[in-house]
Amino acid sequence: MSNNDFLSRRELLRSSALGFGNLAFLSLLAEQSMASGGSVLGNGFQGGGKGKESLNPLAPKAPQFPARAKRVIFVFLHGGPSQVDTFDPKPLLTRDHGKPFTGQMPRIVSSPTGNLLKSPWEFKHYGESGIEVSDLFPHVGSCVDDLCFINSMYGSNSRHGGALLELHTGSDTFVRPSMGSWVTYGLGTENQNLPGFLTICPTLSHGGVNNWSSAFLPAYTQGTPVGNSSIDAGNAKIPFIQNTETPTEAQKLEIEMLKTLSKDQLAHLGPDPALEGRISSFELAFRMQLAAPELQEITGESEETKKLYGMDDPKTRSFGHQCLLARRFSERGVRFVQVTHSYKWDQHDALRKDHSSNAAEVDKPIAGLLKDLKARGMLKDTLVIISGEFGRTPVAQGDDGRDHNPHGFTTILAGGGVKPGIKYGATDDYGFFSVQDKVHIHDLHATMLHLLGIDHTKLTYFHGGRNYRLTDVHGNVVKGILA
Amino acid sequence: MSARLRNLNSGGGKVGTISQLKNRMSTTSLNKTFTLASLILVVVATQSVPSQAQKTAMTPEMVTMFEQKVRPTLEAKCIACHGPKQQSANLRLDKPINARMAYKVAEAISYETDPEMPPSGKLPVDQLAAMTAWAKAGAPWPTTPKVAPKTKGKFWSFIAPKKPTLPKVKLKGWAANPLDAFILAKLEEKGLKPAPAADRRTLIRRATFDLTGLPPTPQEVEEFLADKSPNAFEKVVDRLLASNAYGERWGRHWLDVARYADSNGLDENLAFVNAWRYRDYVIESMNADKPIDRFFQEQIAGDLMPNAGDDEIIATGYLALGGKMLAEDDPVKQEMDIIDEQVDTLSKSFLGLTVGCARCHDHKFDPISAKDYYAMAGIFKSTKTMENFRVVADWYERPIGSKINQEKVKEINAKIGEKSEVLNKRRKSEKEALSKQLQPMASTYEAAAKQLIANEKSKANLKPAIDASNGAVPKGSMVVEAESFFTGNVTRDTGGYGKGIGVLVNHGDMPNRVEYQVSVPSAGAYQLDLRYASNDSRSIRVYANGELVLSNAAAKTTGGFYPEHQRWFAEGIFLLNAGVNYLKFERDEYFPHLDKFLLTPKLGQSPTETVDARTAEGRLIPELVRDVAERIKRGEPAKIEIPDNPERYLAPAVAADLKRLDQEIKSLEKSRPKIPMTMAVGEGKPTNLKVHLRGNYLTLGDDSPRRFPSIIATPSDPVVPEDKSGRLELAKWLTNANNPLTARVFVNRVWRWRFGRGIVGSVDNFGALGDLPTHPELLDWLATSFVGEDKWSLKKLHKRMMLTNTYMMSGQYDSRAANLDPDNHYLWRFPRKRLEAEAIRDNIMAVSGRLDRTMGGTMLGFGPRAYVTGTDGVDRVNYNSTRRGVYLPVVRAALYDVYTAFDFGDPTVMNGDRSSTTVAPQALFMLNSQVVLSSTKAMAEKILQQKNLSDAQKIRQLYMQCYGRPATEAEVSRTVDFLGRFMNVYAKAKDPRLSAWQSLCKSIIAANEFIYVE
Repeated sequence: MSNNDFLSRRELLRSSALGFGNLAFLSLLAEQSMASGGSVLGNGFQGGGKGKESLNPLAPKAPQFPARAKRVIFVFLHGGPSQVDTFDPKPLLTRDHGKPFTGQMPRIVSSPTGNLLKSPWEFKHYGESGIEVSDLFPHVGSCVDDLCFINSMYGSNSRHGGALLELHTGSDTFVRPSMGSWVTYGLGTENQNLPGFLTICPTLSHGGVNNWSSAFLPAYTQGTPVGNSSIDAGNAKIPFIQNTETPTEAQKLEIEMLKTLSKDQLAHLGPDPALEGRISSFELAFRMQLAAPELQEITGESEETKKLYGMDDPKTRSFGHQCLLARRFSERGVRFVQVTHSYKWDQHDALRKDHSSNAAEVDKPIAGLLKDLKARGMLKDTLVIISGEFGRTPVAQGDDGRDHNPHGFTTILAGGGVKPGIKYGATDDYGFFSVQDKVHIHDLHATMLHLLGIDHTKLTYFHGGRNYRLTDVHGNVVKGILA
Repeated sequence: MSARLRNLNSGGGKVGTISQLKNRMSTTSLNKTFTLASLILVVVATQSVPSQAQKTAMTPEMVTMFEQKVRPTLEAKCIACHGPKQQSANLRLDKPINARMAYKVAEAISYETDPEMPPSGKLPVDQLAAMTAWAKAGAPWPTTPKVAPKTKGKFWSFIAPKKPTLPKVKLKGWAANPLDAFILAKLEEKGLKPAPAADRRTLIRRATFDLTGLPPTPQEVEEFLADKSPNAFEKVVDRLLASNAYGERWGRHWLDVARYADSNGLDENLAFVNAWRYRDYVIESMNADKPIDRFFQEQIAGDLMPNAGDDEIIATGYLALGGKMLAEDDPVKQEMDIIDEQVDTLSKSFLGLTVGCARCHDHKFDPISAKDYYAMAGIFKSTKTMENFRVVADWYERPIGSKINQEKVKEINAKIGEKSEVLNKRRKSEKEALSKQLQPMASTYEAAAKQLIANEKSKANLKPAIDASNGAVPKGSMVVEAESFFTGNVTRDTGGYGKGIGVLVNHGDMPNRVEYQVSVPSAGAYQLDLRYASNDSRSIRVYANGELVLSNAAAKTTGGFYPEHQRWFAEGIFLLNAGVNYLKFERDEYFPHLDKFLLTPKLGQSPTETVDARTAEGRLIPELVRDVAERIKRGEPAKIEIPDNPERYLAPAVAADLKRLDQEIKSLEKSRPKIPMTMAVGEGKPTNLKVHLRGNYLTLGDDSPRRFPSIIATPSDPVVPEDKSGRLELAKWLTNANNPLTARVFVNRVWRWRFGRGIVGSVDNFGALGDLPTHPELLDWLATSFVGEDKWSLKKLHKRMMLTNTYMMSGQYDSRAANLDPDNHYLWRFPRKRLEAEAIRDNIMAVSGRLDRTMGGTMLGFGPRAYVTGTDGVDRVNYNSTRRGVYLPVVRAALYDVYTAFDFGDPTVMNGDRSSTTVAPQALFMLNSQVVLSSTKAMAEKILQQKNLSDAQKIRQLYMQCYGRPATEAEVSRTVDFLGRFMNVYAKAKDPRLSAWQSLCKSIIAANEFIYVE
């Protein structure tokens, strides 16, 4: 195989990255590869203009080392759930309620705060592990033996916009590829009729698309939004997936005609892989159109399953629907699925009331998702991440609120090679700062990639004069939580 | 290991300290101790007598450990006294130290012996552990990787271009001009030959898309075919260059580089309502063929140029348009990030250099030092880009237009300022007075509040009057549409929130309020039910005939703000008079989205909320009673707190007084002439920056006076004056004819936009990691003639490139050439290109006859700094326009989906090299999008109106219209055949013929020939 042949295929791939993968195109490439005597190239971890790329960019790729997780479901609780009111009980906070906080306050704060504010909720021990969870999350409490609570999370940005971007992309300053894009870039995806990275009902605020964008990574790694946060999960759809005017038969014929036209043209132009690839992309689009609606419906699910996700209760119906969609997409081989409980957790005031109603909306659906994954044998190789963009201060804002706190919060992991039934790391006596076995958001990213069988320092992309990583120049795998 | 440590210790005899240290390390949760341990082990294993610790080869882990944990501490805590400026105790910690010194350091920081260092206090546990481990290991110091020093003149792009001599070629007849000669010489060198000339239809289609982004009309094609004069093609090029569409096309190219957008994106997606002025300025500059050096200067320092007018100020929008983190709690970081965005964008777009890397450290590959970076950053630190750095910061905007009006506004603003101060003072004192007056009545309020709570409990037993199962209104009830108010300050919305039903939404005036006149037949108790949608609790007050009757109505949430979230709730019972009653709804903030309300007679019942307390005592304020009640419910002390706008609670005379002041301010505001504003920069306070070590403003290094990157600086460069920002000097330096990069980078961009790939492939990176030019002499020839003979005229550059055999080649395939140069880097044929997102859309609009050619102005439709996308997740931008794509709003973080599908790219980042992917979502767009469906419908209707044409003739016309060429007989008959099949499929449709023709048009525009240009 001459160097030029290699270059040409690489160029072709760069220009014909078939957004949602393409079997027809794959076989076309395989033929070409045979014809030129080439072999399938490396796994693309070096990526970009400088490294090797596999043939179909979305074809599943082998991880660098044996993976414990094959896919990720990220449950995002937007706004900043309070750690001391949910999963990080602090007896001293209760004892010292109403007293001033005597420690060093963060150098940068969002709003003025007052004295220590105890949690209005009781904590109970659950499961064999005896982990304590507050009364806000009784259903999640019933799953503790499958969960790993990282109580020592911290980030760098105290505002929603910056913190969302940091959690999703690793950078709170620049537009960078989101973690779902990195994962899809590194591992491809299992189902060639669906996108590799889906985000269900995402928020358009606080960075919006930048939280699921591929930035400088190839476009096929971009997250595909299914609806957005203003749309009930039941009505959320993949963009342009259907139109109501053209019947299927007519559309089949449209594709036949445009194929005929394009093939005709190709015959007198000479070979051009980009043009050929475009013809195939219509076939794929048509197959997706046939496959996707079924997925977006949940009619095939039993009443029992729907109940498990709380879909029989108006409070939990919408988020339950999101979680159930996430399981359906994951089950069908989508590599990275995000669900978002949009911008509700920001209780600068009305903590008692709103944290209660927020938790009531998500508790059962999250537990339902965990139980359903486990029952289907999927939890062992699905990494579930449950997190907000930051936590909240143990000191009060007003009488009944808490300010943003990126210095210490809790992220829950489950499945996919994570030690079940443990708590990892700790915040200080009041739950303000992460102090023991601190886990930065970069470390969480490094650990997620590790579980997926990827060394975070080796998943790089050359852009704008240098190699980029999800973890930039940071990140350590949190070994203590690996099963 | 311990032996080694003991040995190390023999001088001081402090073994105890070390074991204590080890214990502390193991008990301080250092889960990363393995790195420290290995660091120590390596040192021990490789050194017998550590004299100069830095001689040790450090492993990458050790280096990382050092850089992450040790160096930042040294820089933050030590080098002020032990660094380049001072060397207290003869110690410098910005350089390697010997083992003895290292040991002393370990002792000092332990705080167990004298001296205790750092004097400000013992280091935090993790820093102490890392520092101690490092010092105990003999203080190994990483050797700076020796990158071969790139001195000036070494790398090709830093040497100023010289006009090259023309190469010798064999095929002399083809090389009619220097450009062709350079191309041909390279082809011949590689054993290739140029493709034959393109036919005229291909050529005019290519040139028209190239220069205008639109297809040629069939008539333009015919005229060109008929023109037998030798300069027929030149005439076409001249015509296209003179058209307005030219500026729209080439202006858009530059807007990619300028990362133009109409919203901020990033964290807070606020509307840039005045950004369009910069876009229009770019389009006009292109059409006027403004010399590019002038064009560049205006964008960097237009406001500082002699006789600067509005255009020059608008031009500096280039520096202001970047995406910014507007909600950042750390204002210093915020400012440095904004400056960084300016430095990075500017150096990439004009110089093709990635200067941004040097924010944290000297550039690893290009000769740009951190000092160079901060020297340039200082210029922007001295420039005013922001109004302030608060959370949700305001960017700077400058007035344009009439100077007289601008003066007048200043005057009025001063008056408003004075009056506002008076008002605020008055309001504050009234609030304090009221507060004093009320405090003795706290217990009365508490009693009233408790009564209120008791009353409310009875409200919980209320049943909605409307039957939820069938929506039936009970007999005798009266339904009132919320929009039927006779006075109020909210808007009736029949669009998104009120689609199909009509609801009330906020209009900006607070408090929100509406009043209704309702007539009831008899006096007595009535139940009020409200139908509304709200995603958060927005409780309203209800007044009947001036009396507060319900203080907490509509407090429930319904899960959203849209019609599908509308629900009925029973709110309470109160008394009405027989005949006309006045009902008022009021809320200090936004209303819930009220759809309608219902009054049901409950004549026997008593009101849910008695305000007995008030009527009895005659001196309680109902709203405050409600407030106290809420506190009691939350288990808080029942104290009285008066809100910041106390007017509602004040005596009528006082309230009227405050209102009068407020009115005066409002009328002053109204009298203020409307001054158009533009996003722009101005001069700030001239300031030099210090180098920020590792990019962190908390660890500052040396001063770095404002200047230009040293690698391309020359002694003749303008010097930045102490009392100016240096922008004007920067602009002059950039566009100096001797600058080795600016002209090259620009002509290369033009080449890329024309031929699909730059002579330097990495158009935004001319540094060491960029691509090398495929035709270096050609690049220099273009750059020097552009600056010299053509005096930076882009239109002349176009003609230099287009009136060549290279441009006029066909795209004919040649298998031998394809094997030798598969990517066509040497241009053995004309490269086939897919149209860009805007051109695809405009092409569809053009062939369907829908394209609106209005130029300029904004279509954003938002108030200044309004949220373009909000936390409610709604994308409120309207793209439903038939104007050219360049005028559609470019909304960061919620880009128009057509643009997203077709590689428009991220408008937060400058990009001179859009990609061209072929992804399935594009196919879905062609099959299902509204743009395609409505355009093809218009096309089909139009073609069907021509009743005198046969089907075959209609098909011929479609081909001419869409592909710029006649259909072959085979194509006609095959299309007729497809038409028949479409008719069959649509046999049962409402209008089978229309649907069939629409599908036919869809296939034609979805085919490759429509969106690829030969």
